[in-house]
Amino acid sequence: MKPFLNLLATDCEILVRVGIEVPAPVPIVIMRGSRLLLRTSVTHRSSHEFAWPVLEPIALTIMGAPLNSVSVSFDDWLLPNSFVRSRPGFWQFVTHDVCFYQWQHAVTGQGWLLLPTAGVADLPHTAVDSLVNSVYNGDMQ
Amino acid sequence: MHVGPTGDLLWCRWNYERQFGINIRDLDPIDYFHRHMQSVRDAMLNGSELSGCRWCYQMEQHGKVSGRQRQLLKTGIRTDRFLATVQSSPWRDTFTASADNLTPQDWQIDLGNVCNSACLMCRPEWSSRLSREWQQLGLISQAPNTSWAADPVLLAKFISVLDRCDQLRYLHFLGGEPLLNSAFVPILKYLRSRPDRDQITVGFTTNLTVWSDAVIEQLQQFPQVNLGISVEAFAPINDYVRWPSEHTKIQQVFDQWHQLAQQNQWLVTLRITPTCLTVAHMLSVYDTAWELGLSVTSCNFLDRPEYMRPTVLPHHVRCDIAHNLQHWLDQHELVAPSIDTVPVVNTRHPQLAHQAIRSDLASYVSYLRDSEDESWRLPELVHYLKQMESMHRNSVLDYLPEYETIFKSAGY
Repeated sequence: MKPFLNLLATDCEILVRVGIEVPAPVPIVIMRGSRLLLRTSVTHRSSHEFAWPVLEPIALTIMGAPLNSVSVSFDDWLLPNSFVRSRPGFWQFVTHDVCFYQWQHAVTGQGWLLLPTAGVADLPHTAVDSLVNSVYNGDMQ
Repeated sequence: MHVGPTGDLLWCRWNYERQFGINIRDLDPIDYFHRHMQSVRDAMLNGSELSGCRWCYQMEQHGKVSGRQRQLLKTGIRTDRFLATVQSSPWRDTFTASADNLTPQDWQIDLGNVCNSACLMCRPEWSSRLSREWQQLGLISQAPNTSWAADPVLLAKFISVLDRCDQLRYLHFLGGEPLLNSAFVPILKYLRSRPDRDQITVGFTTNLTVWSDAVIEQLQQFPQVNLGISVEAFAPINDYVRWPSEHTKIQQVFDQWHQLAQQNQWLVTLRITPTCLTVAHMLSVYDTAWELGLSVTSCNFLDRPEYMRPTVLPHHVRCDIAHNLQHWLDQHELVAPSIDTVPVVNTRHPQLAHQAIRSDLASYVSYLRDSEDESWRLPELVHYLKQMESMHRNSVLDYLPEYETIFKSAGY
């Protein structure tokens, strides 16, 4: 087992897998926030992989008309469609102010996060708390 | 932070390795948190495996959600995605900083051994009744130095310690039987006087033989209460193991607690301690939990007393039980997960109760099938049962006739 400090100093990224199906050849654009991540043409079905910095909130947008289906996983966790905003030719998933794992903690009902006394003001708690409250505000022993 | 029933201070609620002289009688718990626990924190930061964590490692080996995993989850950390979730945790920097400016937020408080039950798998430190019986049987020469909270000076000291804690989030009370402990209500009253009272969750575990309107009146003032209910089976074997309970009365009291919990939106967990005597009958608890959407928790695979571990049963018996448990799992499939969950299930989430129940029971299938055989301890078990039966005037064969051959071959 590695010393904890070494773990904290390790660059860590989330593996994002995107699967796209289209009915006919179409150009698509994948955005990371406001930056272009990929512009390509999809004929029927395509898959793409990206590394996403673990602390960077997710803001993933896929555009291209028409899109039959989009499936996205984060570190092999398949994103449920209920968290996605979509309309014809547009697919988007955002975690707002929080990084992916804090968002996932909230939406998968893992309970509230205990928070340290120090440094509270520096953390995006409001976003986390509102997510947690929307799911479950319970505690666990 | 964990205050044991004898007043011992422990660094985790699942760690039972006592250190001599580390007791609330002699030491300020916050000093313990700051200074004595520093060596534990350092060892963890250095990547050491602590012997006090071994019960949790054993649970994880069989796919059971361990105490370690539950505690980590409170800070957003998961063992199956350790690196990524550590880096994402709001506690990331706090873990490596000095704890001098922090105070414990999360406590387990064992108030002492005042208890009206003499459960066979219990010990005198947790049960005054068992303590008396063991003294009469000559199993111990004197009662352990327990019930620290019954000492008004120590109770006042403890409340003053809580008062120095900047924020409190969760306090779980055990006994003995906390409802019989005179310190429970004063501590609850103190907690309600704090400015952060509406952030505090109170948990406690009771044995279904006690009802206290005075305690309930206090509990109803907290925004969230976690009610743990100790039961081994909704069946006669519960009477034998959790002596002198009566399963018909247990059922009535359970219904009362469950109704109260529903009225107040309390979280209910059924807490079992599977032993070789009860593991084949615990499905009655899982049935109830499944029907009512409650979770089932056992702290760990029983470690002590060794002769009551489920692994004391002969391997072919264990496999038969595992088969029955698996059959139950096959008949209780999830219709559709209410939440797309992650591997470490939050066992306290009401909507995840069925997932948590299945996960917990599956760990027992693995444990019963794969753990090392300890049937050589059967004579020790039989010897102990005969001693206790001389006090309780009962016979295990009235409750577990199917084990007659096994017990008689071991000297019953």
